[in-house]
Amino acid sequence: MIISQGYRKIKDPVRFFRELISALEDRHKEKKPHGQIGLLESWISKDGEFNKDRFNHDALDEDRIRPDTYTSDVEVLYDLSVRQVTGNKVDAGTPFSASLYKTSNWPSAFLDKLEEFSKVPSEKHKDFEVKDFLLALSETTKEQPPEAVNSEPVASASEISEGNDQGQASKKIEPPKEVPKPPIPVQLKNGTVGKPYEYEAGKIAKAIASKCGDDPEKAFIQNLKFPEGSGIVFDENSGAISGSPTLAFELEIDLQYFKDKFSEARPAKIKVLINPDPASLWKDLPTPADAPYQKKNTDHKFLDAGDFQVIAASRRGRSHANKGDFRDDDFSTGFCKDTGWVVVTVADGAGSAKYSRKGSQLATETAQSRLLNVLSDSKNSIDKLIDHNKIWDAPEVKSAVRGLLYDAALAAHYKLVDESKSPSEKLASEPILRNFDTTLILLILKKIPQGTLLATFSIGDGGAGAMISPEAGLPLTQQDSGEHAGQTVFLTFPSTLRQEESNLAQRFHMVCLPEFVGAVAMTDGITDPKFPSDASYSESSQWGIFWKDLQSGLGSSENLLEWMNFFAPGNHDDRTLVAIVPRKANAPAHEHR
Amino acid sequence: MSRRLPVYILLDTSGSMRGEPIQALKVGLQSLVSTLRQDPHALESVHLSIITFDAQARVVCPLESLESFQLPSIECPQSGPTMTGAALELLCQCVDRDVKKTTGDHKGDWRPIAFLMTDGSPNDTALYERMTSEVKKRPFASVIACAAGAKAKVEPLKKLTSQLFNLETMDSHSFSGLFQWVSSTVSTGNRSMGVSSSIVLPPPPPEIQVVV
Repeated sequence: MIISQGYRKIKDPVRFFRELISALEDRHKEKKPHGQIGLLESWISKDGEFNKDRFNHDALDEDRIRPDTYTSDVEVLYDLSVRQVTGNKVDAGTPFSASLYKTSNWPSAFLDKLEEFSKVPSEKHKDFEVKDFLLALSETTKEQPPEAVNSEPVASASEISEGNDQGQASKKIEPPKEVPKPPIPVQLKNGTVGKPYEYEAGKIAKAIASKCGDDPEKAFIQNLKFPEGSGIVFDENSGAISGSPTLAFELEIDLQYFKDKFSEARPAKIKVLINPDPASLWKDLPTPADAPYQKKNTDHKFLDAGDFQVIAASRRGRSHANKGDFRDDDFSTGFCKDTGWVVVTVADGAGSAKYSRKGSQLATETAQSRLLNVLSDSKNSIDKLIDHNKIWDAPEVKSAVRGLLYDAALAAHYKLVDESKSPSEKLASEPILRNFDTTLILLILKKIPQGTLLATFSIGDGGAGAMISPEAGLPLTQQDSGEHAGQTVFLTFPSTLRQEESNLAQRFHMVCLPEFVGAVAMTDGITDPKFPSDASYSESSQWGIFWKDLQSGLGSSENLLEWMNFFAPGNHDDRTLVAIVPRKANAPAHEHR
Repeated sequence: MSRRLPVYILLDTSGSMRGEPIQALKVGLQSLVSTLRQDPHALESVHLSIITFDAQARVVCPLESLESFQLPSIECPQSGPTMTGAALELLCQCVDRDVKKTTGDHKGDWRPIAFLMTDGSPNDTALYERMTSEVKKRPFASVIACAAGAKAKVEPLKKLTSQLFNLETMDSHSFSGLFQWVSSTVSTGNRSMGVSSSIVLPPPPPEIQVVV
C-alpha cells in the first residue's frame, strides 16, 4: 500500500541514500523494525535531505508496521529511486526502462541497475544488495554532480501506463519478457453463499490463453483448489467449477496452466469473490436506552369487538434492527360497544425522520380517540344519517363519514404540530415538524342492515383492503407512491390535508359488503413485498392469494406477529398489520393480554 | 426483483491523479465495495456504476448489482484537461436510461445517489454550467461532491451541490475514510422519505472537511 503524503524531490541522491541506508542498518543492528515503504516520502525533508528524525519516529510507530506489507531494504531503495527518477510517475509495479531516462542527470549505471532489478522476479530480489546500488550511484556521480538531478525527465505514454490494476498486488516486480510472465489473474464472476455457483469448463484456460497469446482451444488448467469447506470444487476431468458456496471470501487462488498437452505447467492465478448471504448479515441491535421517545420493538393486540375480532401486530424491521433503530410503525384499535363501530389505525413513521416513531404513535392515538369520541356516542350524527337515509351511499352519509375521518386526520396533524413546538420529552435540540413525518391509514367499520360498512382515509403508502370472498378482495385505499421507491407523502405535509375535492377524494373510500370475509390495514413493510406493483394491488385475485397466505397469522395476535417475520429480499422495513374478521361461531370470548 | 438503489461514482482521472493518488483512490474504492458488501440491505439493493473523466468521460462500469460488481481497471492519462461537464452529461444520460420509475407493473428504483471526486476544476466550463442545472432536474436523493487535494477548486462544485466536502490529502488513508463515509450515506439511501427531500448525511470523518 502506498501512503506517502506527497512528492518531494531528493536534492543529493548519494548523500540521501547513504544516510537512509545507514539509518536502516542502525535499525537492523538494534534488531528493531523500520517503517513500511509507503512512508518513505515523509523521510524526505522539505529541502530534499534525509530526515532521520522522522525516519526514527516512523520506525517507532508500531501501528504503522504491518508484517504483510514488510519490504526489504533493497525494495525500499528501489521504490524510492524509481519515484525520484521518474518524477513520481512510475511506481514499483511497472517495469523500469533505463533508456528513457538516460537524458536525465541521474547516473547511467544507476539507471541500469534499476532496470536490471525491475526485470527479475521478486523472489530474486534478495540477490541484490543495497551497496550495489550505492556503488552505481556514487561511481558515476563523480562525472555528474548530484546537484543537477532536478531536471524532470519525460516518459513515453507506454512506459507510464498504469500497468495491471491489482491495487496492492502492483507492488510485485514484473520479470523480464523472455521468461513467460505469470499472467494477470483471471477474475471469475462473483458468487453468493447459498446460491448455486457454476463456471463452465475450459473458460478459465481460455481466458489465460488469450492473455498469453496461446491457442485457447489447446490450453487447459490443473490443480485448482478452492479452500476447504468453501462448497465449490474444480472438476479436474471436465474443467468446470460448480457447487453451492458456504463461505464468503475474496481470494487469489494458484493453479497450473498448460499451453497445450506437450508443454510444461506454468503457474497462474484466478481471483474469485463469494459474497456473504445477506440473510446471515442482519444484526439485531438493541435500541439506545437513553434516546427520547422509547418504543417497544414489537407490539400486538387482540380485541373482541362485538360481531368482529380485531387482530393487530407490529414488528421492527430488519433494516431498523440492523442499525439499532427504533420501530417507526404504530397502530391502534378500538371498539364502540354501544354503537358497534370498530376503529383501526396504522401509521408508518418515515425512516428519514428523526422522531417519526413518536409521530406514528401520536397520529394513531389522536385519530383513534377522536373517532371513538364521536362514534361511541349512541346519538352520533353518522348513525343518525344512515338510519334516516336507509341508503348507505347517500351523498349526505358519504360526506358526513368523510368529514369525520378528515377531522380525525387533521387532529392528528395538529397534534404533531404541537409536539414539534412543545415536545413532551426532553430533546437535545428543538424539533421541527418534519422530524415527525408519518403516514396514516384510518379504517372504520360497522354492521348495518345492508351488510358491513367500511370507510377509509389514507395519507401515504401502505394500504387497506376488504375481502369479498376468500379468493377475491378489493383495495380500500389509493397508495401515495412516487416515481421512485420510498417516495410518498406524509400527514405532516400541509398539502396532503388541503380541502380540495381532487385531493381528498382519492384519500377517502367507502364500501358496503353484503358478505364480510375480512378486512386489513397495513404499512408498506407488508404491502411492498405482498403487492409488488400498483397493478397487483388493484388485482382482486392478488388479494385472494394474500388472504390465503395470511390465514396462519390470524389465530392470535402472537401468531400474526410471527407471521409477519417472513423473509423477502429487499423488503426489510417495519411491518404492521391489523386484520378484522367476523367473530367466529363458538369463538373464545377473548384472548386478552 | 427488489428495488434497486443506483449509486453513481464519478472520478477525476486527469493527469494530476497519476501515480499515488490514483493508487490510493483504488484502495479507497475497494474499501467502499468491501464495506457495502457487509451491509445486508446494501447487498440486496445497491447497484454501482463508475464514470471516469479526464480528456473525456466514460462509463468504466455500467450499473451493476453490488453482488456481481467487480472493480474495473482505472487508467490515468499522462496529462490533459478535466472534462467534468462531459462527466455530468454522461451521468444524466445514464440516470435517464437506467433508473426505473414506478409504473403500474413495477415499483420504481430508489432515488439515485451520485458522488463526484475531483482534484482540479472543470475545463469545459460552459458544458459544466449547463449540466449542473440538468443534474438538478434528475431525481437524485443526494449529490455529494468532494474536492480532493490542494489544487481542487471548490467554487465550481458549489453550483453542483450543497453537499460539498474537502479532502486535504490524497493518500489511501484519506480515500478509505472518504469512501467508508460514502458507504454509510449509501446505507441510508433506501428509506422512505418525502418526494423532494434529500438524504441527511451522517457526520463525515475528521479527514473530510465540510465546505460551507
